[in-house]
Amino acid sequence: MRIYRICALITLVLTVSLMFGCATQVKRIDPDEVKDLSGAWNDADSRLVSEEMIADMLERPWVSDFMVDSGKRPAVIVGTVRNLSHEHININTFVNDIERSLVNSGRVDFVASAVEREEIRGERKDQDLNAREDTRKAMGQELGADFMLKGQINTIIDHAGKKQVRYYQVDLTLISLADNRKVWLGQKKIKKFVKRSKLRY
Amino acid sequence: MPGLLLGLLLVVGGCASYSNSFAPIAAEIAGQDLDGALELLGKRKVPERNRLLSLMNRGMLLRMRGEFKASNQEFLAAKRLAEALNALSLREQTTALTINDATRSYVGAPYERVMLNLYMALNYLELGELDQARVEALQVDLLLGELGDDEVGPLFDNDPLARYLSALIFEAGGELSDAMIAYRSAYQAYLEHQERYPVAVPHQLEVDLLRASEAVGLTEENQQYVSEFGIDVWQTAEQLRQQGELVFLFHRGLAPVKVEQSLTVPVPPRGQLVRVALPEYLRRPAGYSVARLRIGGQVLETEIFEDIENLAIAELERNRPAILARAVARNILKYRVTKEAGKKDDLAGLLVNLTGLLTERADTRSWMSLPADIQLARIALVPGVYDLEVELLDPSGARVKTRSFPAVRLEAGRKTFISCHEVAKESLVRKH
Repeated sequence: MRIYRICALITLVLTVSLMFGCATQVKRIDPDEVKDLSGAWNDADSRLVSEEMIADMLERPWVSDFMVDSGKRPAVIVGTVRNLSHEHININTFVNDIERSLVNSGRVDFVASAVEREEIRGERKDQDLNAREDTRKAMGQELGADFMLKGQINTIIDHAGKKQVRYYQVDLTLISLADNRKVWLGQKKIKKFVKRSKLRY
Repeated sequence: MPGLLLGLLLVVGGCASYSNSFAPIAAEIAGQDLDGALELLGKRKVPERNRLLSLMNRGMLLRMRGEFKASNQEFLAAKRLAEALNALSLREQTTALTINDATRSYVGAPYERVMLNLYMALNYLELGELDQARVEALQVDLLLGELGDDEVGPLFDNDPLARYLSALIFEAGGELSDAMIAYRSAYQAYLEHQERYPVAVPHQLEVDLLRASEAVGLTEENQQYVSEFGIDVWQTAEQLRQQGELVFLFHRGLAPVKVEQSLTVPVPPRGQLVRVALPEYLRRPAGYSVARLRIGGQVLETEIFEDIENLAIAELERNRPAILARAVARNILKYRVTKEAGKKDDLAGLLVNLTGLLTERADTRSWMSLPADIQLARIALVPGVYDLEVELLDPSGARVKTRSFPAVRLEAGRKTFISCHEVAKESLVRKH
């Protein structure tokens, strides 16, 4: 009887250790797949918001108005996007997503940001000294932007006990650099319901 | 048999508790050897249940060394862990009821969780990342709301310095109405805390309330503050915007230490020993009292904005009934098990009793690298570059140490944050 019990115990221990003792598991997933873990702002939110907002922006009449008036495509620059939310959101990936959507649309020209411009100017200065004349790029030939895109991410969080409603609102504004006119206002909202576990191991 | 047990207990009972193990690290901090303190902390093998404490201590030491980015990585990990540990573990509750409280994961006291946000915000402010600090200000508001839901009591669902720092962050970003609300919440927090332990409303906060209420046009409230505080001249928000402001924080000494108070008594008729071990806070000797700043021809002393020592003691008081209830439940269980074992075999009874006694230890864990209090002073000056001299005074008012911060740049309409955390050797002395 006793031996039987010990055997049963050993079997149980082995089964449990087999269940939990596995090595680290890696499963590759598609970058487009939405995987919500903590309920916080994630890559999927950043991508969806930027794509949808830029699509909306490019559909609006300001693009055609500008082309009729000036006869060229509008040149756009991304200014600051402020994070006014409850989370440490990586604004850089969001701005990169916006830039990618804008450039790839082909409907607007896109001007490099202030930081990038500094680097390019440094390179031109260097070319002035070191590059062959026929390949040298002249200074003062930069494309000035016509519009600046600015924005902010806000959140409202409502909570009761372990339940939380997280509401994100992303506002983007396109401002004309010539006369400070706001030519487009975009808004995208995301709402999530997060329920945290009451128990853990 | 009780005599033999007591003898054994004296031999083995001296094993180090958590708070004892921090003493060498505290000594390194007081000796200004932060590298040594970090090395000591890194060498130690941390059981999973104490990981939160290890992250909090590492974050604090890195901060003291001026590595604000690295410090925030530790604090962020700590914050996430504290959130995850917020759920109840039945397994840990069981071990707490059969062995002792210290077998549970350390989840952090409410005030310690608030301090995590506060110190992260300070790190961001000292890095000059205002928007990131603003995130912490919003999070601390959320956390205090959640703590209110958990009914942790009036001392812990509002925190004076967390509110005050939020006000500073909003004010620095030009959000005057949010700043006003936060100043008002800070004032409210001082009044609430005053009912539990002696803490004065800082004079600086009174001036801030007057300036902010005037700036957002709350005339009636402004008049009320004028009569309440007896101040009728202050710098307006517009005047302040034209100057550069230094916000200096003095993190004084180290938080109090939890020690174990235990009592072992024989229970008739068989003389079985029963032991109760409870944690008790020991205040550290003061060492320094305040910091006196000298900058641009002005002299100013810091004021206490957050009294962590009293908060920690109040938190233990709040928990005492629960700690006591668990200790009683545990002892009844241990008594019964010992009695059952003793019925079958005397030696078995003795061993079970001994095991029960040796495992009956108080939970002496707390975030010990926190300062005893946080003091603050604000000075607005004509924009420019200044040399800052900080004199640390002892409780008698005598200058015992001077630290200089050369070339502090103050820009118009901006706030420059500087922190200094000093631990006096005198505050390391511990009475037993």
